[in-house]
Amino acid sequence: MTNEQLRRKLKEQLVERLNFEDLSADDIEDDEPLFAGGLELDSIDALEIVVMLESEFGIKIRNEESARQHFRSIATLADFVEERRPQTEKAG
Amino acid sequence: MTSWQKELPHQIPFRAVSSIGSPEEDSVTAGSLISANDAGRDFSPDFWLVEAMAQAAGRMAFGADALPGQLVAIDRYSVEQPPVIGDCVALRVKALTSLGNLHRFEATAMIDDVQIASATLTLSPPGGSP
Repeated sequence: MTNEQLRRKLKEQLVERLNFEDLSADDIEDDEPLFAGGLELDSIDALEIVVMLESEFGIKIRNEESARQHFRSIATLADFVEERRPQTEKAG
Repeated sequence: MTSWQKELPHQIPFRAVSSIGSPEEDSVTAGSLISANDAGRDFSPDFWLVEAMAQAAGRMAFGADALPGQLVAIDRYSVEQPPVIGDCVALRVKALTSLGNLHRFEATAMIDDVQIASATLTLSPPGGSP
């Protein structure tokens, strides 16, 4: 999966899991802030992203500071997933 | 008074669970007997079930330290069959993940091994809501 495909998948997952009613994956910019000043997600939404990373990509994250750093935008989230997911998946 | 009763801050009539097992690594079981006393109040099975799930989850998240907790979010709550007076509901609560002081749980309610409800709950300590 390329980084671009990964970004698309992350956007679709966010729309589905966070029940965005008036927003589609196409409406989310890669560099748009996910929290303040952008999509205005809150800490419970961040927890949903943690669950999504674990169930979809097998990536566990427990540290708030790490989440704050990597959950800034779809672009930073995709880079984080790409860096952390198993090598075999990257090849596929 | 058993240990779970000491750890759970809810007292009758706000105690929705009738028993809570010892928490395992990432899950806990509990029971909720829907008694005739509940009919005297404005009994809402939906409310009662989710409250019972939250109380069991609270024991997992905060019980060891006997700290109070609060339910800050309910997601994907689904009731396939509302319980009625006389039902003994078996609850199973599984810890999904935590981030900071937020804890996410997946809960199911069963009667006679048939699932009647499920929900995803988020708990935090007081003042720890978003």
